[in-house]
Amino acid sequence: MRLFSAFEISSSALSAERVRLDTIATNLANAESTRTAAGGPYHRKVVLFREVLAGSEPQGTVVTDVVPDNTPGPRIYEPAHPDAGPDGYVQMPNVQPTTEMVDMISATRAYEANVAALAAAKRMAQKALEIGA
Amino acid sequence: MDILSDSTGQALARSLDVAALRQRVIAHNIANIDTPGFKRSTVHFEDNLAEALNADLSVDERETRIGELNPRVERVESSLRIDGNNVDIDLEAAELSENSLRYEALTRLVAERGRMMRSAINEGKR
Repeated sequence: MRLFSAFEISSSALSAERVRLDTIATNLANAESTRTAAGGPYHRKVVLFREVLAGSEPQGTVVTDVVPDNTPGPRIYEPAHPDAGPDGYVQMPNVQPTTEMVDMISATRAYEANVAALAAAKRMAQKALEIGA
Repeated sequence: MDILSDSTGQALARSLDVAALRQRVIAHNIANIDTPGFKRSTVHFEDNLAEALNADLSVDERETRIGELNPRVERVESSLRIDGNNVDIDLEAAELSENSLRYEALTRLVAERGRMMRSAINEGKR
């Protein structure tokens, strides 16, 4: 029954927003990470959303990629820091807590909206089942 | 005249299908609220249905006309945000509510028709 594809559309969005929220949490957790396994400071990660279509049939959304944002972060003068360069400056991650918090609010609201869409689809399916009763 | 698939029965059945389609389209719009460049879609059907129901046709012509009606999904090419996405969450939420209610009203009408026929078959007894 095609109404169940409405559940899949909404749940694809719930998964995508959850990935986005995880990415935001990772960014916030690494706001002070001046060294990563690859060397260099942490760079904040950004999720890429793409629409999913099967021909012309809507199929929701998907996160295709989690890419680093390579804009350089601030440099702090701290010669005693283990990761300070020869000029005494430490390259900090480019994580702005306010940006991440705003993204988090947006992701949460989008998540709630998709939960509402899922609830509406479920209610409609239940009403349809009551026709014969 | 087939009492189960006369023009009213068909109109109800098609309307239910379209309401289900509209729910998927709205869910798709809401799912892509953060997708850059995404354009929302909307479903057109009820105007054509009203036209078919009000037209001056014979019973058979009306049944055929309703049977041929198809919903039209239109992609709206407006611009709302810098990233090209034009999904307005408040509009989608309102459409979602309205569509759910319409679906429930239609299922109730279909159930009522069934009850009426059952009552007629049972000659007015339960």
